[in-house]
Amino acid sequence: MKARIKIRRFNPETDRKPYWAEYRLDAQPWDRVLDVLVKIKDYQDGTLTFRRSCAHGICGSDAMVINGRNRLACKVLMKDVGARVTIEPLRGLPVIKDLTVDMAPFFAKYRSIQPFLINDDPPPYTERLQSIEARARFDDTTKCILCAACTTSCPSFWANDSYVGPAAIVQAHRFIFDDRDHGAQVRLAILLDSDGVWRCRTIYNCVEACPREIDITRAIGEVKKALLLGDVE
Amino acid sequence: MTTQTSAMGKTKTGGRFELYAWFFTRATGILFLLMGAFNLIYANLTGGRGHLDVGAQMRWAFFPISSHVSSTSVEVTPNFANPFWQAYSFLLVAFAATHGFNGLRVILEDYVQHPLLLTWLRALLVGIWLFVLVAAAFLVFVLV
Repeated sequence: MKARIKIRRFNPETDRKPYWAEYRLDAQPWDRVLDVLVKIKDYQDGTLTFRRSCAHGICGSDAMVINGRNRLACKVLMKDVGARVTIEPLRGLPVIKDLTVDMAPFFAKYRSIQPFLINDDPPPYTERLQSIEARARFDDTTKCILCAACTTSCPSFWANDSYVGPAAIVQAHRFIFDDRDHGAQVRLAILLDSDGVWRCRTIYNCVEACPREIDITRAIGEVKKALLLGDVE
Repeated sequence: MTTQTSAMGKTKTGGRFELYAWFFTRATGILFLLMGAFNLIYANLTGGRGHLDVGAQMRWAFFPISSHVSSTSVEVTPNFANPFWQAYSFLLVAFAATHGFNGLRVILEDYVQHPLLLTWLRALLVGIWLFVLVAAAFLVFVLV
């Protein structure tokens, strides 16, 4: 297929404001958008900048706005987006160059919910065992790859970047409902803040954006319910 | 702990307020509809059927004071000097106003970044909210 790719580009050293660059090339229907970006960079314009690492939907490096929706470039096929594609950097985070955004504010929010096991019990000789049911309780939120597609699709986050954001709440959920973890009350106290879960307006953009198909709004709802009832079942 | 505070931003509203506001919105949203439905059913069962047009039905549902439906020649309007209906109408309007103004507060807190402006707008909102409550109390307890 003859592909026409429009990319929102910005180089802070030479450009005063972002502009659209257009590239035409031959692409196969089974090419991923990431393959097309690599082709452009290799054969047409070496200055095009974007992040990619594993290219298999696991590392979460190449989240970007593809045809207006937050997607991983490595998980979207050309046959699914058509021959005309527009690609922009994620919204709501500062652009460093072209499609590369500064993830530091995103990871600061991630760190704020203490994303690590909190358990002062002496570790057992083998692993900390857990029942299948207890593991299933938070299975959905373990799938998060921290690509920022959800947080940067969230209008509440665009409007007010002090909001902790869906990704951090998903990560908090993963520990709050883990029965091996004893830090639930600490995390709930953090999310009780006015910039915590209450800025979620259940818009569901995050659910639509998540490349891992996590039910993010449901997870946020469960955290709200735990705050209201004061316990984690 | 320091990273936490800096990452979570600057606005720290007191304690559990946001939790209560969120729960109040959910609870009154349902309560409001149930109270409205009760009014409609009550009015229609007690003889309002055929006398109330759609507009009057809606006014009756969400602010049941007799002056709202006086134009429809309904003779069945219960006497609103009755303290039950007075308290009921006032609560209905108070819940609705608080629910709505809390929604406006939420929008302000999302979109107004300047702290001083936000404080002024919040104060303005509280002022209008109190005015609506007082006006409703006046209508329900004094005029009717």
